[in-house]
Amino acid sequence: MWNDEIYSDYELLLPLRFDGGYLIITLYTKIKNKELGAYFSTEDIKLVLEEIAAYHNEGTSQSERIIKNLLHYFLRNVPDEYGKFYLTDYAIQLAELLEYKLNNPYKTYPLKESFDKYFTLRQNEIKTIQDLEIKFGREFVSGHKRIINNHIEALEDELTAAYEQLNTILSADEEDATSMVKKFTAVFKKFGERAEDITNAISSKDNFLRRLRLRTDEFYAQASDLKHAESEEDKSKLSKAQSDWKTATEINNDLSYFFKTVDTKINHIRKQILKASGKLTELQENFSRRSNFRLLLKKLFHLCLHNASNRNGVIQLHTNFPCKQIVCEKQQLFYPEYYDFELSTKNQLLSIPRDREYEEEQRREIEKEIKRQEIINFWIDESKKLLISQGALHLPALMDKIVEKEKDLAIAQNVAIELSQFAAENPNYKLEIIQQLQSLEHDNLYLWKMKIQKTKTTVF
Amino acid sequence: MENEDPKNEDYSFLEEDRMKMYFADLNIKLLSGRHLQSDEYNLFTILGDYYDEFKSFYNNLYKLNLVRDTYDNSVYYYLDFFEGSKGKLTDPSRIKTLTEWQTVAGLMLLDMYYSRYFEDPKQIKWQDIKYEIEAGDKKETYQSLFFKSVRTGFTPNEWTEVEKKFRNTVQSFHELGWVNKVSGQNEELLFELKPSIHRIARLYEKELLNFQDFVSHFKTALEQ
Repeated sequence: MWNDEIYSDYELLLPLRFDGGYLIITLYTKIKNKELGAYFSTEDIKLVLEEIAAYHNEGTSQSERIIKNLLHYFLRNVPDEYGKFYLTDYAIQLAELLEYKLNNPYKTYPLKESFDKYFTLRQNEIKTIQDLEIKFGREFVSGHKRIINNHIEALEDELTAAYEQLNTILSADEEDATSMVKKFTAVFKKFGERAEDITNAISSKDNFLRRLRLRTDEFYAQASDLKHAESEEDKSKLSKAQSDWKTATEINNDLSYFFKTVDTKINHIRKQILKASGKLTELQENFSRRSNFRLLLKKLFHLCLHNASNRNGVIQLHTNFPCKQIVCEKQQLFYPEYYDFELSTKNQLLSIPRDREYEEEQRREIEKEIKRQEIINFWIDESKKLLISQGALHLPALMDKIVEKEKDLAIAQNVAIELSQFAAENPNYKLEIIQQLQSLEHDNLYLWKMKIQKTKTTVF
Repeated sequence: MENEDPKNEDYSFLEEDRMKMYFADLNIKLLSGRHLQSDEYNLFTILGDYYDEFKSFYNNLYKLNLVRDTYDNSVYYYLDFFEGSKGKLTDPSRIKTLTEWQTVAGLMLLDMYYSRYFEDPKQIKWQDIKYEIEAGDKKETYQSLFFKSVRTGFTPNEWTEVEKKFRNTVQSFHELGWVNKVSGQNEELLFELKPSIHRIARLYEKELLNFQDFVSHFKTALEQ
């Protein structure tokens, strides 16, 4: 677990360039080249520091302070020899790591060869599960996995370095840059070759994984053949076959997972190569114009920075360096119905208090309506009975009677409408209308003379 | 660059079904200064399909120029003023002037776009900006501009203050469609530079075309 102590020592583990970083690397190189012995003195350190300062055009750093910083992690005093030091194992390993990272031997080595060297499965090569474990067991392949990862990392580093160089072209002088682009085309041709190598490597890996899966299936088949084991001997064989299959499956899963991560990294590299190649072609086409434009933009930015200052936390541009204007109309919704606002709306439940008065009123209305309907039905039934018994029915007289009894013209109207409809739909009755006005006795209403007449004997 | 396009006043294209769905969004975004690119697929496609019609529409009704620009093989659309005119948006509240901070940060991000020319996507983390300020080529200028002094180290509070300002700038550029902010509120600032950030260069096109005159104008102003 990380703790404060580790954080506090962090800076001591990675010294800054002029605070000992360059010194360690130079000392390591000099010792390696036999220019210095494994033990060196304070004077040697001072000389190396002066050399570094001269090379980088910087002031000479204080040797005492730097030695104090580097002591323990990078430098150690030689016991019984005052003023003599040696590089710690950590310092040597760090320098070696840097050297390895910068001069990765895999940069020029085809990936397919690494794949073939470490991940190949020949016919009949694996006879027992021990053979498989020794060749591809987790602890046995960890080194091979690291090599493949280093190899891929080297490819990525190479690509990044090329990007940086290409970006340098963009800010370089036009004439030089044009010739440099030509050189870089060659670099990218190499990347094309790398892309091809990667494709071959993937095919080799797919082949390997297929064989490994087939071999794992064979272990399963062995266990499957023994599934009906009855004798003790067979049962113990079954148990061993099952255990073998389990181990083979673990190895298969482990390597499948590893190659999946390899695939992801390789895909990333391929994508970058393709993009960069496209850019390079584009760059060659309009290089001079773009380079010139880029140069002008840099100058403009430089001018802007030199005309800017910070006053009370606010940046100000002097001598009227122009700040540009852009369209920025505040949002106005002219056609809100066509606009999906996508605003989150909150639902609120409002509890409405009970209005007893309104409730009563509505209840009375409903009851009245129901009662009216009942009365209408009653009159319709009565009228039909009358029609059957008498064979004819005078609608104005009927309505008059209803109005007199119920004091409601609407009921009379409804009954009349229902009966007229009944007569119209029923072939045994006919509706006779004489266009002669006749007034109702109990209401100020005039009607034509209407009579429903039975045409033949009817049974309801 | 004047509005000399023929006056096509046929706006029947606005009756298309697609317009009912997207016009309001498109219009609001363009008028609010947004630069529309292919990542806003529906609006981008409509603008592509009816570019001439929309150009006349904004020219006739707003006196604004709908521009289709291409940079880094990517097309983007935006509304611009015609030279010497603010169209129908003469009210100052309808115009956005980039602040000094935005101008500096914008030119800085444009510079970073070029330095990542071969990368895709061009992602920028707060650490990248911090590195430029701490150890980049222009570290002294940046430090005196953002911290008012050139030192080897700055306090966490000072960094927080500068980071906050960059966050705000990135947010406003995100709204303009120049960058795509990927990080959330409480995460380390992370965003992608979009090709439309090239609009900043377009804004200074006149100055860049006559750069020597522009510089000599400055020299004269400084000497006075």
